[in-house]
Amino acid sequence: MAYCIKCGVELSEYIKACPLCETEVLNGTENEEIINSDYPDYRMSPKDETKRVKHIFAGKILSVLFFDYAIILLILNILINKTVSWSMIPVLSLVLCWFGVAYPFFRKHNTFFRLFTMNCIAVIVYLLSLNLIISGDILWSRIAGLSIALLWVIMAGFFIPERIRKILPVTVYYILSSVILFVVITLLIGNQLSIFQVVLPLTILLLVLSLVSYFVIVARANDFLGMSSVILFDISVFCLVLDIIIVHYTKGTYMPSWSIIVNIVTIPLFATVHTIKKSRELKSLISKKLHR
Amino acid sequence: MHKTKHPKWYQLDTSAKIYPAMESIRNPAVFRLSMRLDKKIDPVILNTALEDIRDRFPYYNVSLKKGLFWNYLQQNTNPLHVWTDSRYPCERIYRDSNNDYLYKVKYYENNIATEFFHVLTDGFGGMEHLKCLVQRYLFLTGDVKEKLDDIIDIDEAPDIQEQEDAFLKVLESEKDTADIDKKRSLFSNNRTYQIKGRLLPMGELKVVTGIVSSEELKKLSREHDATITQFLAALYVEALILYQSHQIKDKGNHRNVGIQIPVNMRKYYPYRCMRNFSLFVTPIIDPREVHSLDDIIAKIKEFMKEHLTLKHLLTMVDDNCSLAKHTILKHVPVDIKNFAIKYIDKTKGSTQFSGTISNMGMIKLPDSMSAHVENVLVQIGAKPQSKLSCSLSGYKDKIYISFGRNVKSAFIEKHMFTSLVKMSIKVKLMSTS
Repeated sequence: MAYCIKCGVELSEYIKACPLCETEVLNGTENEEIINSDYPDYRMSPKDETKRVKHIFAGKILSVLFFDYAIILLILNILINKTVSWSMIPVLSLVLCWFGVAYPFFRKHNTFFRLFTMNCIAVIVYLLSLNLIISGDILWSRIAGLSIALLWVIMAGFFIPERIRKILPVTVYYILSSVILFVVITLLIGNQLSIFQVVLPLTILLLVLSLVSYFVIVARANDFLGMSSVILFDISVFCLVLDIIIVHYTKGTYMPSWSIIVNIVTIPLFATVHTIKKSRELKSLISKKLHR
Repeated sequence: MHKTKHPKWYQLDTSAKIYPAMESIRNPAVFRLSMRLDKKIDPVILNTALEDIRDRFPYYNVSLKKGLFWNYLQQNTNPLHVWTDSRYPCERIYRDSNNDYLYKVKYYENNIATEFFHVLTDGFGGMEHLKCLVQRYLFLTGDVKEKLDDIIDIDEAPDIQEQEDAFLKVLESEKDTADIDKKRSLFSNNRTYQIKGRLLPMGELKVVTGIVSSEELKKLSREHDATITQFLAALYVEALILYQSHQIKDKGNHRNVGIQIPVNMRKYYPYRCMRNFSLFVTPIIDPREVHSLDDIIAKIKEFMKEHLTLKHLLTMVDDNCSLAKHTILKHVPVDIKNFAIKYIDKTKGSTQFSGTISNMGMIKLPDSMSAHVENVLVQIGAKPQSKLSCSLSGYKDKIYISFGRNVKSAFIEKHMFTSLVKMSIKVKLMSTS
């Protein structure tokens, strides 16, 4: 039995110095077995941590891939036509793809809303540029751009906290959006369009779509994926009908033009979201990642 | 264990939500529980015992994953291994080198220890797991023949209540009769005294354990008209006040001393929860108002009497759930939340107390098991701000007072143990680091 002469406490057999005052134990036992009861002196260190996969690497690979394709297309166009003409369309599409696929890898903290905003801006710029390259103006693309801006406004509504949503329900939010659209369209192209032939049908369409979507979301699809698929469906229908109304008014035909491009984007997205909603594994992954 | 196509997942409980944000090498948020047996541990049998009990504790065999709004726990099917113990208790659990598990089972000589990342559970859950592990180990070695009543049965399916967030359940059950004090602030503006001193190298924790007779300590506490926790907390505060006057000569600059005392909520609400279900009360003592140990005891007693009421506990539960319930905050992306939590913890949370004292109470084991278990120790880690923690566990006729510190000076432990010696309490010291 050993004691610390300074502190007066009893010390376990294997202790060679008092842990409180570091006074050495006189005549301490030093047999092999007792020395071995000291814990091994090894420890984990941060260096033992396996290096995490750097997502930025994937982003770089994708960027190089898109860049290579863009350069090849531009060179081909210059070699064949001695000018840059048709290649601008796929190059612009590659830039859009870069924003959608590669850009998130370079961001450290991605959030859904931030990515969505970035992609909306990219799609608007893409459509405006496409229109400018093809027709030399931004006649149809400003309507498409406006629709996407409206989509952004609608999506932003879902990020409004529940407490405020109680005061400002989704229906009211949609009505407000349609009024804003009404005003903006009238301001932009008001002189060329008849209020009764274009703007009023559009407003009614928006209201009908909003109300139907609202009730579908409340009754059947009140989760994130459900809402996304309903919204994508709404965009498809809205753009198509909008295009038909404008084409009918200006040219007298029913042949849609730019809305086909919008539908090329939204229909695969709708199909993807719908597949995810139906797939249990993917659904489980989404519910885990987005639980509140 | 085979990989499942649809791994089960759990939301973090309300208390656990902050730990992933606060975790660092300096603040690993890890606690340690250990039992010393009468025989040298066989690692192969221990590993088998661990594998045998893993399905009974599905909520501990998980890995921490990141979601958009919150982190979550996902079933982990990687192999589970036991570790040789080292001199560095409560070390940060590096998930990548631990097959993504958030706890470790360690052995050395006669000791079996479990170290849990606080995100999984509190001391109660950890102790139930350790008891079950040791019982299974003793069963496999042939030292215990039959199933024991007070230990979790590994053949039973886990109760749904074990994995629930008991804080939310309490709030839900009490919402109609809720008597929550709304005029309160989560943090006070008064910073308490923090021990000054150079920190030990990263990850090191000096542990000193004092063993005292429970009867003698109980008798001494009774003489001071206090419980063991109140008495030892008062001694701790006294040591902190002395150390403050030793470190800061100008009395005008002296700060209040706060001591954080965990409260096991299971004592007040009958939930069989195996995840975090503890809260803290923090008596704050103004050094200028106390002149003796009995003054400090009186202050602590008064504080405890006032704060350990159902109304106040419910208020604390409500406070604890405030982050998870807040309409705007719960929709903030997890990385932004983590950044904010880390900042608030450093500037507000950790400055509210000078030290922690955690009492696990008397650990009771069935007779056939306790014949093979020599001691039960509890250790909680230290934070870079408060730098020292004290944990108490009672087993058989002894009370184990463990101090863990990440600074060189042993002033506080020395004061406490020498004070006990001066009060004619026999103290035996052991050191594991």
